[in-house]
Amino acid sequence: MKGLSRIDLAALTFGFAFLYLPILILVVYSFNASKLVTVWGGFSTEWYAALFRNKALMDAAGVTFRVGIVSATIATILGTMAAVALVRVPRFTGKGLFTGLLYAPIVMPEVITGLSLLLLFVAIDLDRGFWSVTIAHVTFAMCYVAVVVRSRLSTFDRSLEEAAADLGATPLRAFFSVTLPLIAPAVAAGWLLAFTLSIDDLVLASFTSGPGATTLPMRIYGQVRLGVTPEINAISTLMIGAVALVVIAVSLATRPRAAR
Amino acid sequence: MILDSPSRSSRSAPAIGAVRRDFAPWKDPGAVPLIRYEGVRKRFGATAAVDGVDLSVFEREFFCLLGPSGCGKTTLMRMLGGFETPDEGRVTLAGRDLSGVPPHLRPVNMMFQSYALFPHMTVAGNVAFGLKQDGLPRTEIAARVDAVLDTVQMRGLADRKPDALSGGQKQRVALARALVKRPKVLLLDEPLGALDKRLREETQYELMDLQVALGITFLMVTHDQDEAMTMADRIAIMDEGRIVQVGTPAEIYEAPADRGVAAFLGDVTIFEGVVQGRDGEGWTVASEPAGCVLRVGEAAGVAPGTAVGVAIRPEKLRIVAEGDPAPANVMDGEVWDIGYLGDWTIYRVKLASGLIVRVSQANAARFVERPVGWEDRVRIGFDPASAVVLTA
Ligand SMILES: Nc1ncnc2c1ncn2[C@@H]1O[C@H](COP(=O)(O)OP(=O)(O)OP(=O)(O)O)[C@@H](O)[C@H]1O
Ligand SMILES: [Mg+2]
Repeated sequence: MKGLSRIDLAALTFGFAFLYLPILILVVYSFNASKLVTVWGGFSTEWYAALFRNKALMDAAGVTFRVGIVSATIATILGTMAAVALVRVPRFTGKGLFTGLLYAPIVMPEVITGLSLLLLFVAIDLDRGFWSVTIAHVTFAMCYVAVVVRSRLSTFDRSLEEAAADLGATPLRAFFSVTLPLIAPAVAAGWLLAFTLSIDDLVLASFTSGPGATTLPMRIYGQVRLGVTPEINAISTLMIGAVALVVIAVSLATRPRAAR
Repeated sequence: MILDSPSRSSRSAPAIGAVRRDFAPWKDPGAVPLIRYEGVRKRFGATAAVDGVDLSVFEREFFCLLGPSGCGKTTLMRMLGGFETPDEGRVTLAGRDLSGVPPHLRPVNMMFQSYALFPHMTVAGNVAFGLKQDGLPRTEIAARVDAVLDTVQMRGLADRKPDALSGGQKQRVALARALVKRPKVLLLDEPLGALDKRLREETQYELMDLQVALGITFLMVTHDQDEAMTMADRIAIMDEGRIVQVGTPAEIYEAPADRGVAAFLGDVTIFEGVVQGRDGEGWTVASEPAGCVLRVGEAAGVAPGTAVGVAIRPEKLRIVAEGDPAPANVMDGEVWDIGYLGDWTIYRVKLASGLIVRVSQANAARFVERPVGWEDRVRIGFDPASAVVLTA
């Protein structure tokens, strides 16, 4: 790599500062001993301790975690099935439209998705709570899973499946013993992506949640309106850590194999 | 296993070319073919990949589909494996119509052009896969995997992943994986395509021995004519989705059905001409490119006035030295080019008409008394029986 000129360096510094300074401030202040959010009062981890004593916040974290696990799992199964179907099915008129329809929720404003789901739940008289949030997250996340899995499948060598069939494997066994292990990194990445999308979500949850199913982002948002507390900084720092871990895991899982 | 391998040495009197072995069920009108294609057609959009094929392959035969790239060889074979469905016609195996039978229920196994080894399984895992699908007991699976890996000399690498194998080793594993289920028919799609020349030749003979030893019917696709000639009991020459000729390698080489087959398989010079009349057992053909009247042997479907091509292979032509008895057909020309190949020397001789004729001579002796050089005037000739008269 060539050396960076001063302008490059300045641009780089500024860019990264723009992206990460706010987050850095949040992380730093989560270790602030002072109760005042904007005044540095020395290093402390007391807010992390306080956090674990805050039942409302902990409950919300629990809900978020459970919704995340369940919705990511269902979204992964459905999204993988959709991707396999789209790649497998021979070209038919309207396949493009069908594919587009699967991806539409990605670009759909979340407010609209949330509102329409709310209307649906009211119409079918589904109690709003854990399951309504989970279903909302599944509809949203499975598109992402489908995109990730489909891109992996498009480079998948179909002759491997044919070989499995040729050797006597039923289509189902061929899928589970040959296809699935080989697309597993993409499926895992899809799951992690769905999980992060779920724990990050505020809009869909606000529309579809009900009593007893307040998610962490909803709780944080609610508290921030009454004023930012160092506790919020602490839980946010933990969330950043969790998401960062997942993102790293995804990029490791989907990284193309190093050239041999 | 009982091996009643047919003897390879028996010789029955005047036959065309070299007789490989005493095995010719296609000549027996009572023999029932194992594989049968009946009026099979398959289109992909505008291209007719397979365009009306009728073909019979007999049990224990080593059958080759040979043809230029894109002529439909793979498609024809994949229909037997169950990966393509014919638009028209049907494929039967041992008398049973295969339409609607999914690949996993067909008693044939395929060795894929790309090998298609499962990258997440070891060599042993790959080979065991097919047996596991049949739900065989574990001990039997292990024993059969070991045995077949012994056969292909890959036992020592049983725990490797396919990524860590060379091209030749992968090819052996793919073969073992297809063989281990003891299929009725083994389909091989250009099995030796990825190997270098030496390994390729070695493997050709290994495959032939294996085929005789196991008594499995082999249906092989190749576009390498030497490979087909070496290995096959019979060859089908395909072109643009049709079968042009079916026969033993010697029949196809020595008695090609038309100009296309003659030119596709080996080198040939074709003298265009018109039949003049009878000449003892054969015919005379006036050929302008040859610059003379050629004497040829018996030919079916010709009469005086028929336009024909007289096809002659390079090794059946010779350079006539002064004082040697001349064959029935001689032409004068000039040596245009010489290619020395070690075992053979190829002379390209230009006739007065401008036609360039290829003549090959075996280099039987290390030293030649009067070597032929560039631009020498030479006289070349051939016997009437050496030429083939082509009407198509
Ligand atoms: N799945 C497919 N979709 C569209 N066209 C196809 C398909 N498979 C084969 N074809 C076409 O059918 C024709 C025959 O193909 P095939 O693969 O049978 O040729 P081949 O004789 O095996 O050639 P090669 O020696 O190059 O392997 C070709 O023109 C090819 O482009
Ligand atoms: Mg092919």
